Amino acid sequence: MNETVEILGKLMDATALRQKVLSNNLANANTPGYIRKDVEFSAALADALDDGVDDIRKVQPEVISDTDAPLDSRGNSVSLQKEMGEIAQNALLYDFAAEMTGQKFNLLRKAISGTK
Amino acid sequence: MSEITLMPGVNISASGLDAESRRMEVIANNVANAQTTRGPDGKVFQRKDVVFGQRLDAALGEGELGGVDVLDIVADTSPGRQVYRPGHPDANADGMLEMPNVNSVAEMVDMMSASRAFEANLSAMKTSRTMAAKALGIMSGK
Repeated sequence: MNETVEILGKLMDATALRQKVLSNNLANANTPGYIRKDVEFSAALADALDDGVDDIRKVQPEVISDTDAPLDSRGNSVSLQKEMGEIAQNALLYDFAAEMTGQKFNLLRKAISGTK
Repeated sequence: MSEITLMPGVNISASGLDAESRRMEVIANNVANAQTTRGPDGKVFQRKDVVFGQRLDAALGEGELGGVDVLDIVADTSPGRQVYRPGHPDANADGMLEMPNVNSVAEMVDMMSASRAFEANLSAMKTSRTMAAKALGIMSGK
């Protein structure tokens, strides 16, 4: 319908998936041998933004294993602090996309009803 | 897909809360039995450990994002402290009594870890709920 709504929708999808992945990291904070996971999408989305709306539709957020994070004595790489920080940032991004989408629809509503 | 967009990760956080509270129970049981020299089998109490494992969620096609499971509760078989207590009914012929292998300080550290992890899971769950509310807010124009 609209490029902006499409992009914001993608952003909400990706951040919702990331919330899930980060929650899974927290749930496994005490699972021996668990390697933290993350979602990769911002680079792909930025590339697609350069190429147009058809590419945006194709962007798929990807769950990856974060192999850079340091392991503790049980071979687990989850840090509560780090995950909480990422969750806060990610939620903010989701809120932003939801807010912008709402604004977009509000504009549409105003245009249809002809009121201010 | 609706679960992904509306309530991202609530079930996952719930599994984390479940697992950490099971761990808390086991720790509490260890501390409560720190002086128990006679269990149901007549032997000295052995401290228990929980075994956590990833829960797989094949249904979503994302592999492992299923949260966490308590796979097992196992006894720690390391020997307990020997104390000289000749008058005790559970003491051996030499008057030595084996105490449970519970180390109160180690249990406290474990308890802190379980409690912090529980709080983190709870906080993640709250965030998921707020996100779901925001998505609904788009419809109502708020």
